[in-house]
Amino acid sequence: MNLKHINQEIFNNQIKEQVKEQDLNITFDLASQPILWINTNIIPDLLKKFDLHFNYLTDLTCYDNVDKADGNKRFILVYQLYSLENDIRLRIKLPVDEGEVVPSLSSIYLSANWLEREVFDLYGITFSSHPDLRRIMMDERFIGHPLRKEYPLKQRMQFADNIKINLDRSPTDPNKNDKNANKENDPLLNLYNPEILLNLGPSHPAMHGTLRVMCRLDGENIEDLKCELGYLHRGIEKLGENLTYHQWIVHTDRLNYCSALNNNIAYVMTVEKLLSINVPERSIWIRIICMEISRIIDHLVCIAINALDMGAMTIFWHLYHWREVAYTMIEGLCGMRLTTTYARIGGMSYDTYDGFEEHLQDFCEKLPKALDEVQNLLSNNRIWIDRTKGVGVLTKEQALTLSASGPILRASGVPFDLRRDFPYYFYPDLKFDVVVGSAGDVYDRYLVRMEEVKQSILILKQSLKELKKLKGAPIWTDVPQIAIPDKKDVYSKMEVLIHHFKIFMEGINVSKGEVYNSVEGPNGELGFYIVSRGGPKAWRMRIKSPSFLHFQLAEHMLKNEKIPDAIAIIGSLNIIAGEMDR
Amino acid sequence: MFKLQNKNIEKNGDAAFYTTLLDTAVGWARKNSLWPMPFGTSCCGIELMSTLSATYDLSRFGAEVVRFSPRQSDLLLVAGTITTKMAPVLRTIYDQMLEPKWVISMGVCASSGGIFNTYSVLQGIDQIIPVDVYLPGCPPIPEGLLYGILYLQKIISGEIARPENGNGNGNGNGIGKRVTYEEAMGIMNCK
Ligand code: SF4
Repeated sequence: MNLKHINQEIFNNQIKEQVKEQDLNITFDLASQPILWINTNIIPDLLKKFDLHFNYLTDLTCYDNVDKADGNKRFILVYQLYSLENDIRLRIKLPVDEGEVVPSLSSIYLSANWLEREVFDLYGITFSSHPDLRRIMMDERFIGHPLRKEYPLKQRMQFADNIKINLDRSPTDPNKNDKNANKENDPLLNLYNPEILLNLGPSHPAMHGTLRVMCRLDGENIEDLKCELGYLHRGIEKLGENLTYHQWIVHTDRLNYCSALNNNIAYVMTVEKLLSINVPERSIWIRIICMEISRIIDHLVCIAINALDMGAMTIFWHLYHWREVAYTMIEGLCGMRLTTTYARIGGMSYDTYDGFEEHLQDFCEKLPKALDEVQNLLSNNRIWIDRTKGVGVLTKEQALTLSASGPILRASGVPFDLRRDFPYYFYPDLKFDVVVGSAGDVYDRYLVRMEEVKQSILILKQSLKELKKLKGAPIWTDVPQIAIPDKKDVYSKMEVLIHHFKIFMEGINVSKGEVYNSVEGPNGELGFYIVSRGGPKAWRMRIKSPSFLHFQLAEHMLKNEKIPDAIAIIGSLNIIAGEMDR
Repeated sequence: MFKLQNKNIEKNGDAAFYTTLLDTAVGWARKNSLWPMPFGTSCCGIELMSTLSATYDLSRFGAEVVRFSPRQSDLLLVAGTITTKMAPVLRTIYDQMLEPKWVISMGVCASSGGIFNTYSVLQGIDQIIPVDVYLPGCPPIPEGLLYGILYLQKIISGEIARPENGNGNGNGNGIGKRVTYEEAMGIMNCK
């Protein structure tokens, strides 16, 4: 199949023809994305045979099929593939039974390594020829697989101590062994221990919350390392299966808490796709504005913290002031600074407040000056350049096979931005540039973020114009089963009260089906994959989080770097623990 | 608190002296020089950072020397969700701190598990370490944290009794009960 410059629709038709010959089954989800059903893991063959350029693994996950709605096997493995050349998606599903061993994909996509570990941890599916199949979220001593349907939501286990990380020298490394043998014989070198283990985190100022990196040092070089996560695993995905669609919105705030608005909107957008409803224009413009504000905040925080980790305190004070200004606006919009819960399924909880337009206008005019000041302090600063240029280089190929996304992928020279390449809402009508770096080092990532803030300001200005035109327009969808009635009517009309009660006590009824939807979040592609079996609760709520994959990047990038550089690199990746561990 | 003995102090280098109780003087010194150890794990940690930064400026209350080493600090600020995997780490950090030490539990997650009643979240840090001040809110706004610190200062200076085993400022049933080392070890399966 020639995949040059075709769109999703043509691809859907072509693949239907193709698989007919192969005896494979193909279905389509509610957003008409193709789902290919296979019986054994023949993905490598498939890719070769069909000459498919799906060079990017978006996500790999699993869901429980204990109710046998999707065939007789116990679990369904889900692979989300993406073709960067043509911007098309393909979802491959592989039913597996309990105890079945699935060949690992980690030789084709390096990023599959941790994703498969996660499936192993939470569902107990084993992968053959996997490099390092251990638990990832839960403690090694944990018993059971928490995302299986029969695992009780509240069954906890306590452990006496933190988990131990082994960093043995692998016996298959002859060079290193030789070098070590010499050192052992040399009495002078024996005076110091060349193999110092350094444990960074989980409570460490430069580890952004709860990341943990265990390094073996050779002098100042990190010779080998292991990353440990799961210190903030809160079971949000399991909660998604136990709460109604509305109740779960609050949990999306706690994913990437630096850009909560963005998560709210990405999630309700997915549910709206599942329900096949549209929201009015004014709502959409408010959403675009919110997403861009949260992108700005997130980038500012990332730059501020990255600089702070390297000792540039001024930047931190400077940028945090602007973040406060944005927070004040957000507080006006929804009443909360950090955990916003602003969006609702089918609309927004409130319209903008009086004077919001002027505040935003003011913000858009003043922020660029502050950015210039910061840029003057950093971009040509000798120390900053020495600390960041050429540090933590991530090549294009590495970035793709490790499924990097967002500013990190763009800094490595891949012009991929979902706002442009897989557009949603009114982004095709807006004028903005996709910022691309070239070197893929820490300095480029900083520059990309800086420029993206400026592009976001441009988008904000354009959206503001549109928003002003739509003053007073409705913000709620007109589907009565979904729209939350006005509070004023709830208190004065009986029918409306009953309706309100039903929406919140029973939840909205979602038909059977599934959908995957993603937005360009501030630190990468943020996706929600919802499988619904009907009713007010999701059957599977999967969050495709960029930070999870970016921490895996760190494991590859930190090797053979110096310790101070490791701090700079981790800061530039903008890993948010809440989103990583979920 | 302090009684000025020499009524007409002048700035001429003359000696002046105050009389007070030793406890009061020590309490006064301690409460105005808290060295917090921020144990920010998640969203609440971000609000903690806001409180430390320019707009809210925690240093106005003498608590700006943020130490990331538990051995140098006397106030443990637990901000964020503590999972069962993190619990042993938190207990270790608490044990490493030198007496006298105080603990503020910031946000509902640290206080009670909050909205995360799931298989991996510890339902309140007071199961494993004693807590002096609980701050409600998800997250508490920076003003809330400032209030909590001012409240703790009152506890330190002795104006308000420290919660001891359910009496003190607690209501006698659960909240305000200080967990002992043995109880904590029991909960954490240390035999
Ligand atoms: S209390 Fe709320 S804001 Fe604080 S850590 Fe818990 S979920 Fe986050």
